[in-house]
Amino acid sequence: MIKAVKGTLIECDPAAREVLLKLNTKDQFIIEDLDNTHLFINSTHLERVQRALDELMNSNTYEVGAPP
Amino acid sequence: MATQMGSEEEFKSTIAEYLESLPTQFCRRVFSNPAACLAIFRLLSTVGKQLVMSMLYLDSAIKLQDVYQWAKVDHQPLVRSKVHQLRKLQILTEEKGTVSLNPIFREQLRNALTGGGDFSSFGIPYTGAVSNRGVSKKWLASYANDRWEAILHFMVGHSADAEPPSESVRGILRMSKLMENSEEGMKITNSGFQFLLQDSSSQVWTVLLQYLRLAEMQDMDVVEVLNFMFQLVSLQLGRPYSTEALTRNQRKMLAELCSFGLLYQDSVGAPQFYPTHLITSLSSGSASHSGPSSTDSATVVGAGGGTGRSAIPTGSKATGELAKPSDQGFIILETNCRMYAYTNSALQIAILNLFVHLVNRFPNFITGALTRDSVRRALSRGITADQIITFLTTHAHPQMQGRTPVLPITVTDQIRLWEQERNRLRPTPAYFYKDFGQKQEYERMFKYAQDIGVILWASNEKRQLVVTRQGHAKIAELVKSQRAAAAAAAAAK
Repeated sequence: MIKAVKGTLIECDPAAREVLLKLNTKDQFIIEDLDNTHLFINSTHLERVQRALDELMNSNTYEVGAPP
Repeated sequence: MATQMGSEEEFKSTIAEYLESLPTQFCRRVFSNPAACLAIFRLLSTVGKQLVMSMLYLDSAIKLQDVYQWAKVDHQPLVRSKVHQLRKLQILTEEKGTVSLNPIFREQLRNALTGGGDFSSFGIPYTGAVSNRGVSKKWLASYANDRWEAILHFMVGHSADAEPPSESVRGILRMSKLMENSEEGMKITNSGFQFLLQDSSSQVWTVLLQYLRLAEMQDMDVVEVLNFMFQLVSLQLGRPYSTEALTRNQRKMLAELCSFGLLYQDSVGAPQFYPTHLITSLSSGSASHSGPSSTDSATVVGAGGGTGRSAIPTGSKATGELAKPSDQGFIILETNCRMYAYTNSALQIAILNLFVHLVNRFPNFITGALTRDSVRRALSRGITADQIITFLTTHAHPQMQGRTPVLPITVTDQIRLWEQERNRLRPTPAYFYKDFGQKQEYERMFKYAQDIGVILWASNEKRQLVVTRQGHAKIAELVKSQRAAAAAAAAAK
């Protein structure tokens, strides 16, 4: 029997996917791990996940030299 | 420059979209006005103009096939799409494979070009005594710029010393969601920030379209407003026009457009008004980019009816932007992302402050740098990288304008990278199908989804499928009908 699931398809680079997989260990929002660059997730978590990813990426960035 | 043209196209298409949305009856009434026909004609793309021109003096319908033949084979798709657009605007009518211009539009555009028919629609020049106060083009330009800047200034929120714009202006800003109410007065919104970075002709269009919507809500006659609007854009800069023939609604509109600096009146209820460059340069937005052509068309019209708009005094640069004509380009951007701006305008500084980390301010000069944080702050307000780049390009110092590309590639690339970094996830609302019973079942659905073009992702091995939300509705219908058919077949047995 076919199952249809409502959600959001996410297209991303493999690095971002790894981060999402790691976030997923805390609370399950990924419905299906499709392939290297595609994930299918629960729509209600989209905004939170985007913010979490942004924060994480932000903390991994370093400014070279202070602004003038 | 290409991106700037792009944004203009977009805004033109919104006025076009507005026209498309009008019912046939309304369109006829709009077309019965020569000034409106000419203004619409001016707003068309070059190819659209050519098509209309070729058909203008054909009295009988022409085969659609023949129209396509006017272009070389590899350009026919372009002609096709233009014909489609013209049909949507109800300028072209199609019947059994033949097309012709809308007869009303044809007649009125002929009138507009050759000077026949009723010319009052182009505005009646004021012939009475003009008050001794000299209203020159130059004065009008500075008046319009002052008014317009005051509004932009109000939006940026640095208007503590200046008086806030009138209630109607604030109403329109609120309604267009460029600003919203908050505890401490009005606050600018994300779309407001984007609005600030546009060139002024796009801004004026936004305001005018908003005005049309407002008119609709107040149950004013839209055609009346629209015709007046088209009349205004075809007026000649620096000439007084009579308010005598205007209707009540049009007078009301006149007063409100005055508060935006699009028009000037000596006093409320004065018998004459002057259009300013903000409104007269609208319909020639694309023409002013190509230089002399705008002058040509204007003189031809002027000779025909004596009512054509004269060429814009100084090219698109001076009239098309926030800057006063005197200070066109003032930004110098170095390859190391540092920025120097020769300006003392609080408005310009406030706009730059949206995406630049400002460091020093001197009497006529500020320095700063594009940093990751400052650009991200702008991006999070909904400003796009392209808008930043367009703004910097159009306001680049003359010394930078000579170079190609105008801005250092390293900096533009970096701004785009910062934007991409924020959008690492590309989400699409979708439906996910799994657990197909048989291979055939999967293949059938895959093929159907492929035919209607709704597949986002598919895997043959896993027999899984992701389709768009719209696609899901169609597929659900298919499955339902198939099941019903199967049930019926089973029952028949």
